[in-house]
Amino acid sequence: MKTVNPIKALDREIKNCVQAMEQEVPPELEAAFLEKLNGIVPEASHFHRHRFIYYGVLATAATVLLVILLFLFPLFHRKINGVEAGEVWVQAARVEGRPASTFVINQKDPDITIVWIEKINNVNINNKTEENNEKNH
Amino acid sequence: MALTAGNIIPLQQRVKETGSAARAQDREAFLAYLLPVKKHLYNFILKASNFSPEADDIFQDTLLKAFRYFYSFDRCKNFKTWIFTIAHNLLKDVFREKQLGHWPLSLAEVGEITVDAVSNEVREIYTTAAALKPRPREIFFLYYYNEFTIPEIVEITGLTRPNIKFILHQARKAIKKVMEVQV
Repeated sequence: MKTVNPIKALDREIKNCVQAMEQEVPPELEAAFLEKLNGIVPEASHFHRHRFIYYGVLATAATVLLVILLFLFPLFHRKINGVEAGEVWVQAARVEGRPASTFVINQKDPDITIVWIEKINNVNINNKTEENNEKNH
Repeated sequence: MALTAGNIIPLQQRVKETGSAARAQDREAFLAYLLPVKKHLYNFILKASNFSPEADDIFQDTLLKAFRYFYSFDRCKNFKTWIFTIAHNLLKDVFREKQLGHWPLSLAEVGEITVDAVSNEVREIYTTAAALKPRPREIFFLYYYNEFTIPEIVEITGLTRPNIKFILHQARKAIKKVMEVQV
């Protein structure tokens, strides 16, 4: 036996009641609207009218941004913790049993890497020069 | 036809005529789209605005605005949803400005419809709908009068699906209560 969903049945009942009362658009309102319609010129939206300009500007902006990023990427890449990727990774340093900040100072000689270790409370503890692990061993 | 001094139309006049012909074409196309939805749109605005005297102005503004931006209407999309979105935005502005939500429902003033012609059940439902806040009332009529689906109402109002379902649930609950009292 087919069961009737009570919500659907109620919805149908409400729809019937709501739709039972409707009225036509008043003729004078329609006439006024048609009269006003004659005085209006439909206007294309700015996007539709100038869409090729918009697309051109968008493409140019995207290209310029991409070129700038390509130029800047090596600089950022070199300066991630001041370490050139793949050469030296200073994971962490401890001074007097407490964690310390590390900074890598760039050198002209690519075989030497200077690591500046600084106590967290900004008191310089150690300034030591380390040779590249790979070169030493 | 040979070109003679008599039949050469000045360029300016020709552009003017082409423009007015295009405008007439746009007008015809717009009216063709409008014809099947006109009555539903008018009744929706009337009901959503609680049968306020401003409904006529809102209806006219909706149509004029729709015609003005008719070029931006994507012909692949649903015209009814598009024009109802315009109506919804105008109603929202009017509700905000004039607090239409508090206007009383007066079935006696509704055009040719007299109170006697409306059954008690219909009257109770409209009274319940009138007590709803403007936005839920709009959703109520979009769903029950215009028979839009929930995804279409989402497109028109910009509300979320759960929000619309919740509003409909609340309205249903209120009407059910009224109907039970009547029985």
